[in-house]
Amino acid sequence: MSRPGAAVRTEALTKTYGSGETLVRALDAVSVDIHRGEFTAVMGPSGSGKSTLMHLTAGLDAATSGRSWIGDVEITALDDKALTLLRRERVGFIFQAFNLLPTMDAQANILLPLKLARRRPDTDWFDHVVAVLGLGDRLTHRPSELSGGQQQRVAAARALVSKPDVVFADEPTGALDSAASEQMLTFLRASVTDLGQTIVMVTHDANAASYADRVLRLADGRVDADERR
Amino acid sequence: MLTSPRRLLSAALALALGVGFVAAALMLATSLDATLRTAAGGAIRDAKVVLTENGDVPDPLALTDEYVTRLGDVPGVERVRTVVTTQAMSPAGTHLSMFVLQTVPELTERTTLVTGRLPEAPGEVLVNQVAAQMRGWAPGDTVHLEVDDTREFTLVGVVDAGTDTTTNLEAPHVFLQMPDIHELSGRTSYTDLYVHGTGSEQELTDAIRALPETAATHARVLTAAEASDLRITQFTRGSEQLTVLLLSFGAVAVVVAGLVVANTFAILVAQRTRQLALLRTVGATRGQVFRTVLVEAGLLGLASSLVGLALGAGAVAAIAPLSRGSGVLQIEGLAIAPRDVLVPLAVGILLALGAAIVPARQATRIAPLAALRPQAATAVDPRVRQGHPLLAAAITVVGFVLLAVGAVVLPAQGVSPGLSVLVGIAGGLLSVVGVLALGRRLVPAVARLFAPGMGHLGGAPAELAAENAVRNPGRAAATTGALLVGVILVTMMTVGAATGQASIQRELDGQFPMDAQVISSGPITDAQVERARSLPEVAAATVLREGGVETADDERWLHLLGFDGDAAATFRDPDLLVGLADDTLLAGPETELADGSTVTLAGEHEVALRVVVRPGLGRTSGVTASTMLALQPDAPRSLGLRLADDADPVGAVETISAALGGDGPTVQVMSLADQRAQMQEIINTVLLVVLGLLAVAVVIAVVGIGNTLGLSVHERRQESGLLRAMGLTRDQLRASLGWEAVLLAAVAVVLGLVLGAVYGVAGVATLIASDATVVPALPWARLALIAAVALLAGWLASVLPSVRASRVPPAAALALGE
Ligand SMILES: Nc1ncnc2c1ncn2[C@@H]1O[C@H](COP(=O)(O)OP(=O)(O)OP(=O)(O)O)[C@@H](O)[C@H]1O
Ligand SMILES: [Mg+2]
Repeated sequence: MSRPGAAVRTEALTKTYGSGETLVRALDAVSVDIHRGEFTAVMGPSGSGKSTLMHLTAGLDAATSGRSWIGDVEITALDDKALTLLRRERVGFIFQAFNLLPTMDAQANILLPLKLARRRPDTDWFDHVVAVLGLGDRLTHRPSELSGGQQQRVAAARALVSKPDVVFADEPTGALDSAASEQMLTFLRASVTDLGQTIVMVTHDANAASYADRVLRLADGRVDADERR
Repeated sequence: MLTSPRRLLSAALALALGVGFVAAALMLATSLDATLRTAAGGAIRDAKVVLTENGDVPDPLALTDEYVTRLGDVPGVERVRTVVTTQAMSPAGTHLSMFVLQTVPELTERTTLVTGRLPEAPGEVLVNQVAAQMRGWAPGDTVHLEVDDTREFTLVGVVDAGTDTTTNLEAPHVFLQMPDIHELSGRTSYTDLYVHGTGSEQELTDAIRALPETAATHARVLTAAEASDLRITQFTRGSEQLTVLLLSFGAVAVVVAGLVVANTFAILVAQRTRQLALLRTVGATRGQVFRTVLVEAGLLGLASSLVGLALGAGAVAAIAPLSRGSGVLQIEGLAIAPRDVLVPLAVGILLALGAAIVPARQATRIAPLAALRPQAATAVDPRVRQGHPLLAAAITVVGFVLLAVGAVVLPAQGVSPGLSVLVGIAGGLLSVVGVLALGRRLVPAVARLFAPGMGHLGGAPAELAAENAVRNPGRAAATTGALLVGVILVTMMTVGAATGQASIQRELDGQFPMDAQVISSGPITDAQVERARSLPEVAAATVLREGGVETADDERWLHLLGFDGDAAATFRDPDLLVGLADDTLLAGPETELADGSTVTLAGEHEVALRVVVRPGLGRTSGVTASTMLALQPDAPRSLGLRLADDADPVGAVETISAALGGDGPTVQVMSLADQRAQMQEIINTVLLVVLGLLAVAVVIAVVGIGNTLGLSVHERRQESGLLRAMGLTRDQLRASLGWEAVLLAAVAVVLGLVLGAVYGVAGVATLIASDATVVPALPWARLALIAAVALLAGWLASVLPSVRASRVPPAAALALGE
């Protein structure tokens, strides 16, 4: 059903909160394709539904109606367990804040998804990701001992180490200064260009969006514009 | 705090249970007292003066008929009620049983005739319903009574004897007229006189005391009020101990509730950091914040205490109908004294206030800026103050040293048990306090021991749980503390009971090395021996020769048993007879013969024997049957028996006497086996009651675990969301929280079992007489049950919070803020 090349696809995906007077259409019948190997930025004003779109397409929340696929798996048809296993195997995440478990050191945080999936880490790949992100000497540190930028890089390493089908990033640079943002975005860009990774990034920041191949603009829960560079 | 009703509910529950326990204990005591007062006062009725035995003088009581006549002449005396209470045996078949012998009662509201009539002529008796049921007696039957020799009486009636006739309602009674009692027992004195008359109690009492003949009666002359008080103290001695016991468990419940409540309040204040800080930014003073927290705690304390009072009263009211006919703990109905309401109320409110003080002080230290700071991603909890670990360790060590002094050193010195018990209790309490204070270090350390094993068993969820359980050591310690106290107490009682039982058993085995001995009126026949051996109730039987011989030099008398070769099999301790030969004398320690010495016994012949001391023999000595016959050729034959392990001891005695009674001489089976069984039953019953009471403490503790876990789950919402996003399934999240609770419970179980076992054995050691040996006994099956129940309870406590946590969609959990 999914066209070849679509890493993520939605069909009339809708999410509403509340009912009656207080009904909010956070997402209003959105149909989009996210292409494999592309860096897609999702932009829009606050409250336009960016995070909601990401949560639904990543299987973190249930849609009110409509359908959504990751690769050729229709995630809107999956039960919670299957959905969780799918996230574990095929999706990577970078959040704006609170990305890491405070009780684990950086290395354990990076390897957490693999551990949950009982998968053996690919050591060469792990070393490569860690080296590229400059985390080599920080692996034994706990999140509280890392700067905000370092924490985000650990999260990025975690998202990529399992070679997921798609990485979702919700304002990954939202809490970073411009230098650290630059570094993060360069890394994300490189992983798309050099490794063919698929990335969906929610952002407010036009500069951040400039790293992407494509920009989807949301307004009031609908796709307002779809720009390709 | 009143804004988090759900979490408050569990603190309130813990408080209510603790207060309810104290209230129930007090109300039970009051109700018992009221019941006993009616019962004890019963026989006095409206008498003004009571004359009764004076335990302080050795002279026999002489309340004779002449004296009663003399009393009638005292001005103001209208009537003297005379009562004799004594005992007699009544044979039935081959055995005797004890009956209370009493003068014929007056019929009243509480003492009513069931059938027949009261005795009127000599030789007529009345019995109470207990006796009638026990023997199947009805009017017209013949009753044999025996004091020195046996006499026959005719039963003329059955009476329902109430508390105004006897204080021992469950005992079989025979009532007969004074001349018959005199003839049967030779008694000329009454045991109690109740003087009815005019004037005040005191005046009448003084008049009787002034009577010259009174001194010669050696009786105590008491006003009715004095007599009633005296009886109540006699009766309530047991029930006071019961109250103390109940109250001490109440204290435990309160301490555990206190731990849980303090923890909950700390949690609630921590949760409200922002809210309280916001109050401060808008201008609330520290004092205002402090008072807000305390007032809320006080209100909570009041409300929960009221619920607790209702629970306590309800429990006692529910017990009342069940208690009828239980004998020991009989209460007519719920009675409440003012103290039963005031004390629990005060305890509950003070407990709530006390538990709130530390969190309230912390609340005042919250800087107004905390309201503005974003929620920290790390969950390091600065709340719980760190008591000095060295001090805690010192307290623990001192506690255990005192415990050892109370359990080992003092008893060995022959100090009175009272002192060693006090020292032991002080040591035990100190060491528990010390261990609880060490909890911040101890609990995580023990938990880490389990972590690798748990990871193996439960995979990633269990590994996460192992980390999470101890990330906040103060909270982990507080949570396990409550359960720890519960497990310690339950284990202590269980091990203590088993150890006490084993130790008493060892004593009994020593004094009565055989289960049963059959003695007979004539020489026991070989047919009877064979008959005994063939019974399934009998595991082993041997012919004994029993006699007494004097030592040749100092003419000391020795109780001697002559053993056949097959005797060893009849002993519970088969090694008892090792070393028995024709030239040895196995002597118990109470014979005071020196081990290895030679003693010459002067019987029919003089025989020189080498002494081998056997502690198990008590005051008996043993020789071979041939030595015995050389000393005393006519030594009577008796039969020593060991009962089969699965035989009911009481039934076995009946069966054996019935089986051997048929041919040959009349036999009597003397057995302690039924006494042992009885002892076991009593210990088991007491244990069951105590464990039931302690279960309340465990329930409170489990509420505490659920509470803490609920808070942790709340605090870690984002983490859980993150984990769920990373691929932790719902089941795994639930499992992880389950593991966390079970791990904390396991720490409490391990520490609790070890400490409880130590306290149990030490407790028996402080109590037991210095010359008895303590036999530590660990009832493994019961201990395993305790562990299983505690772990299960821990897991149960996790069910609600974990279900709640797993229902939250990861997206919602990840969203920042509330
Ligand atoms: N749990 C919720 N309950 C009710 N309404 C919600 C909930 N989550 C989101 N909304 C509403 O849905 C709409 C879309 O929210 P969403 O978080 O997707 O916006 P956003 O584009 O990510 O905004 P921002 O840039 O501020 O992060 C908003 O109007 C928001 O108020
Ligand atoms: Mg958003």
